[in-house]
Amino acid sequence: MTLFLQLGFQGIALGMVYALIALGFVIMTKGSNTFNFAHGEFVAVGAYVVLALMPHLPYWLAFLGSIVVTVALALLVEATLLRRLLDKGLTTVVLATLGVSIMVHALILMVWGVGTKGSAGPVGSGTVEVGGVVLPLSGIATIVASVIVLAALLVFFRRTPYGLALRATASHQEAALAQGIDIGRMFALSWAIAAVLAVVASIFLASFPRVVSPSIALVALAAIPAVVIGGMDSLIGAVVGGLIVGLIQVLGAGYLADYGGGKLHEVLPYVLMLLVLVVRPYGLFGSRGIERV
Amino acid sequence: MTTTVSAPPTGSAPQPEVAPARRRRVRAGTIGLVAWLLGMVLVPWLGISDLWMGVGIFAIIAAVGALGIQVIMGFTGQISLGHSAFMAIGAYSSAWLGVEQEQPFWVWLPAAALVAGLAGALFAPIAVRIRGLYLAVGTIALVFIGAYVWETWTTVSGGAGGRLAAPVEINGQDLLDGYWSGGTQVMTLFQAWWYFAFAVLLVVMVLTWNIRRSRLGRSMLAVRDRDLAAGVVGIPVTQTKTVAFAISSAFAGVSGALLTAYMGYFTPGQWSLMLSIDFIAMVVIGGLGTITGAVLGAFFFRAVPEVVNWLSAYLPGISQDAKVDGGVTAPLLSQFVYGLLIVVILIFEPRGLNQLCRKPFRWIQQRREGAR
Repeated sequence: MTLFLQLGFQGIALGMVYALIALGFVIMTKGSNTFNFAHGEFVAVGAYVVLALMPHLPYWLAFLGSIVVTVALALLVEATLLRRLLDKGLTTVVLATLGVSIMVHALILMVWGVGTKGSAGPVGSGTVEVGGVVLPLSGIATIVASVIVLAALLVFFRRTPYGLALRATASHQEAALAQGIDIGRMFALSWAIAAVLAVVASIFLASFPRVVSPSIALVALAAIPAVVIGGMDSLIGAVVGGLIVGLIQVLGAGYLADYGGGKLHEVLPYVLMLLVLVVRPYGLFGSRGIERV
Repeated sequence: MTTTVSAPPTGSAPQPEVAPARRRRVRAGTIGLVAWLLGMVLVPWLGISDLWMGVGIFAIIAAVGALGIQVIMGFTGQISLGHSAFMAIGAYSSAWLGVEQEQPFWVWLPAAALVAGLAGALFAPIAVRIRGLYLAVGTIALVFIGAYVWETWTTVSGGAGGRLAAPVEINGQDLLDGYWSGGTQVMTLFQAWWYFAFAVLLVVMVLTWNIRRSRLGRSMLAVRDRDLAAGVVGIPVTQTKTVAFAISSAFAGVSGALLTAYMGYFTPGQWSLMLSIDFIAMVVIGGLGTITGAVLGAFFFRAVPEVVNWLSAYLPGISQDAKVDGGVTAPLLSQFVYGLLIVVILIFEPRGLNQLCRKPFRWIQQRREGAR
């Protein structure tokens, strides 16, 4: 039971990280009708910049600096590339973001090399014991920070004019345009929000016991099953999907280590994703936009 | 339009030239095809270095896979990021048949197509339920599940260390040793493999060409343009998509089997998401929906990294081998240029290289028509 609670806690912590990344995917998809395959590399950029600034600045300034850099990168990609390709069809957009992903990955390796670096988390490797269950401080920080960010996002979408404008754009672009909403600015805003979420996710993805390495972008891609499981246009779905994927991975790593070569937990999210696509192609919370023919 | 102008009699009669314009364009295409075929046959004897012959062979093999992607993406309009998994299935089934079962290449090569095609048909029930973005994202699962299977199923894959690939033996000679006749080497390994891969590519090209012109091909195009409308006019949409998936996976399987046979040895790590992206880039940048585009894209994207590698020797500040702590290296630079080219070409000519190459000809044609 202790083991279960411990794994469950870590699963939820990892799941919150996936939820933040998945939310980024969903917000970009809803806000600007594009799926950004380079989002994993945005997460990597966030982690690397925090790590680079940490020795020179207080942690919160390093974090803010990373947000500035990552948001600038996202806005650059959105303005120079995605805006031009919006009317060119899905294939073009998919390939373009994949191209950006390859470029950013090469740049990261050029600047920081292929080696693994230290941890970029806000808290160290300490633990607290609650009723016999050992909880890492980094996990507690992850959950607390994610909940705060999610609450802030909720307030933003529900209570601010920009949030309302974003929701309007997502639900009907032409109608939003007719109401005087600057659609282009909303596209940029959705990418900026996604980039901020990517940075928040990155510092927890790279906190104890994990470290910053070039494969962090690939780890971030595990949020893709979360997006599909939850439904590609559902914010709640992204959070639930993220938690499911996190729990499956950690519980799978704990209990299925003796089966299937000990790496079964790495593919379980993808298997579940395919199952969900068979049973509910639009995800658990997605709208039934995609019909079967 | 030139009737009002009393042009000086230069001896040319403009009127009869208008009618055969269409025939002339067809002939230009035929001339291009014949020139390409002749060129491909002659290339091995032009004294090209082994390095570039190798790149060419990789390009020919990639073109086979790219044609498979063309069937599913270009013709049927379904994005698949999972085709590296089908390549792997072709590779492993061919290696098992060629090494463990000691079958000749004319058994393992079609078998690779068959097994990969079957795998594609098995995945199709999931794929036909989802469309567009969901399909693109969903097919990623294939790559990761595949990677897990290859790493875990060590009796077939040899584990992380890799395994031997099936040998291509003609007249009892391994093609990787070149082709010998009476104690003298008639063809080097590169020349022999060039022709072998080219022969397979020609077969796949003719198949793709025929698919495109058949009832099935027209159904695929209809499904691509609007699957709902295609269903309304009586095209079996699900069946068409399933067949398209099977065919394209079969081509991917052939490409995977050829690729590993040429390399002689392969590891589970090479069937990555990057390989799938590679093929999508070839097809989209080459030109969606055309056979020329797929072949063009394959040669382009196999040549680019090598060209950058070659150029980087002349550029300052670029080291030739990988570094742990950063720095611009030749492989990283070629990777960056690869991504940059995808993005730049998409911005300036989203219809691909195929259209880009035709632009000068079209410009000349317009000038000539304008001058008349």
